[in-house]
Amino acid sequence: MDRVWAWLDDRVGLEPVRHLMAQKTVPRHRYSLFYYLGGMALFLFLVQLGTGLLLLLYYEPGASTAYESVRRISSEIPFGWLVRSIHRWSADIFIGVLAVHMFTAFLMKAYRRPREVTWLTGVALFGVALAFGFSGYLLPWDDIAYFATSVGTQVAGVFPLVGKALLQLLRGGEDVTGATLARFFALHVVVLPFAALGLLGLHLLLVQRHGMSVPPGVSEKGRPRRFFPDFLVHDLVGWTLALALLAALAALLPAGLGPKADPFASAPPGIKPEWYFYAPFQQLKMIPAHVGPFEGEVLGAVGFAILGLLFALVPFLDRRAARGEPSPAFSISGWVVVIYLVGLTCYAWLH
Amino acid sequence: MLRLATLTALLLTASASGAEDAPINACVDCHGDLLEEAEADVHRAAGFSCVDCHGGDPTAEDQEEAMSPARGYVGVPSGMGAAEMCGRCHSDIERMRVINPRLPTDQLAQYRTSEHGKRAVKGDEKVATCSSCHGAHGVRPVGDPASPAAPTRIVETCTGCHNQEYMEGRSIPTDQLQKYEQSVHGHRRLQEQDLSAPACNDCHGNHGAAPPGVSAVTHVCGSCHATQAELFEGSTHASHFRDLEAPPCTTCHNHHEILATSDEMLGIGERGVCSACHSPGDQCDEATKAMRAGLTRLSSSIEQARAALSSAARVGMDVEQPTFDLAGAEDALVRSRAEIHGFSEERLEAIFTEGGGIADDVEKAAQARLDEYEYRRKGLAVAATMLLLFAGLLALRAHRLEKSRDREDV
Repeated sequence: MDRVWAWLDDRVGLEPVRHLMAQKTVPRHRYSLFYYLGGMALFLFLVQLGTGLLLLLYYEPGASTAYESVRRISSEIPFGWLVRSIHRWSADIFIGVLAVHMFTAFLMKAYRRPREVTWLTGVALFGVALAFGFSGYLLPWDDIAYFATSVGTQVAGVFPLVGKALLQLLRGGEDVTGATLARFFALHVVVLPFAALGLLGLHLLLVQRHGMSVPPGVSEKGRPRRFFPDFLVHDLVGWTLALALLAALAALLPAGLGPKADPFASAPPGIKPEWYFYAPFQQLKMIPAHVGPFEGEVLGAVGFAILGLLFALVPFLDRRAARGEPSPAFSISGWVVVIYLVGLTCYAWLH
Repeated sequence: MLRLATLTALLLTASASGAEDAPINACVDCHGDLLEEAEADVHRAAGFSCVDCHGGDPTAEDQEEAMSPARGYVGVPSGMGAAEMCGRCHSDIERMRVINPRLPTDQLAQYRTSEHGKRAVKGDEKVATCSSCHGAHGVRPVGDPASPAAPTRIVETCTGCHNQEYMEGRSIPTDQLQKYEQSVHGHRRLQEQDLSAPACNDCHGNHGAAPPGVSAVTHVCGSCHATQAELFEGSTHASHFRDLEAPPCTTCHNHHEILATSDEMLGIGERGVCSACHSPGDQCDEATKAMRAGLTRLSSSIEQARAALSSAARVGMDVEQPTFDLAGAEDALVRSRAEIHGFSEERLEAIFTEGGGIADDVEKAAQARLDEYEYRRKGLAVAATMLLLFAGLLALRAHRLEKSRDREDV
């Protein structure tokens, strides 16, 4: 083994890697548990990548072939149902873990100097994950996917100035058609993976460079834990349990497939997007048609966009945290937003 | 008299409305009350006036003179006279070709063959004529929902006369509407607003309305239930019914009160319709028992297959193909119920075998999916156990590492 390492080191230069493995540590304090969320998100992303590549072997994009190929994957291809179901469940859990990871990083003020860019890449990765979910939802080309995408892209169309152009860009025309499917497929398997890998690489590089952030005012407990192998072994425990959970969900609640999309059919009742879009979906449903001089739909969509922008820019807004001082206003605001979003999500789920 | 004269005047006035040289129409002077009714009249729209039907001279200032037979006045004929008045145009092929070539011209000829027409010829003035169903001065196209002869109103129009009050003193039944309302046809037509369900005229005819004779019943019912009629006519029962002068369809299914069919109607059981002619233990009894058994067998096979498909679908398995295949068995069940009218055990058995085979195959396919689901669950149990075991080993390793680090610190 040592000879193989030496051979590779001689040709590739593995010493920096070895050095990193030997030197990298993780702080120990009462919130250390949240450090595992990043690793868990990374693991789920890799599961998505692996299962997505397997699905690509049989998926045939196109309005006349997509649905049939997904049906074939689910019913004829050996273990196709398992791969598709894991891909589906893993996507849901991935976005959930990312959301919690991002929120805990927010509360632990992990965005403060010098980690502003790490924060920005993390927020961008979350946006990419949502785009993955939105674009992937249409690919089975069943009725729910079709009508949910029609509604979802309609929301993009309400943005002032750029709405119409954005709608055209997303749909490739006036309506959701085979052209939309082709665009979403390209987005899902080419554009977003490249964007995600680039952002992820930068995010991980910055995490290695700056190390894990310790929340201000929190005292460390003893010597930091070595990343390799101590922290990684704990990570592996979580990943193995996550894999067991994914297998259980895939076997007990396999990914379904509704009737094939029919643009001339009426929308099925109770149509809803994926759970992570419940909050904006419910907000748009609840907002009145007109709020003062503004259209309710426009106000809702723009409001959510502004909320997202403020969230991304929080390292530059929270000056107290940047100076290492407590900033309870931001923490309370964060809690309020999260409770609001979770409340809307629960409400949409129950109705 | 006055009303007719007014109508004449009204129609004349209307037809020439706006024209500078409008002819004088004295009819409206007395019959102005008919103006509103005649508003949507097809004849008025086509330019006909009062005199075209009733004759007379609307230009005469004197009422007696205007409505004198010498000026062609015919008044308001009743019975056959009324039908012939309409028939003057509607039976004139040359004329109708110009006015409305899409309309048939045999209404009067048909009317003469109808029960209404036959009675009208005998001088019955209470009998239905053209205006009884189409209206007099507000005649609308049959396709107009406001027309009394429109498909949506025809039952109401027929039973407007065929009721106890109007038929007082006549010997014909007056319970048709009550029976029809109870029937499967009436329910569809009146409750579900399904205009494809037959109304009075679909069985009795329109202008030639008459009760179908014994020999015509199969043809009347068979105009919709073609398969059943054809099978019955080809069966041994057809000649027996003819010998007995029993109407073919209605003997078992009733007329007017035609109830929804069920498998229980087959045989001489409590709800069986064969007991009118057959007795327990005879050839029919034995044959129908076998047929009933076949129907029950096929129905339960389909139900079992459907239940298995439902179970497989509930656990998320793809059942689209077997669900599609099951339609073949359901089709066989429908065909077998029609085939009963042919009373051929051999042909029925062939359909039962075909349908039962399909249902069995579907049930096997559904069961295979349920087996696959069970296999997945077992596979999951094995995989989950291994993963949990691995996670446990990793946790143990992590714990040991933790301990060794603590010792290093000490």
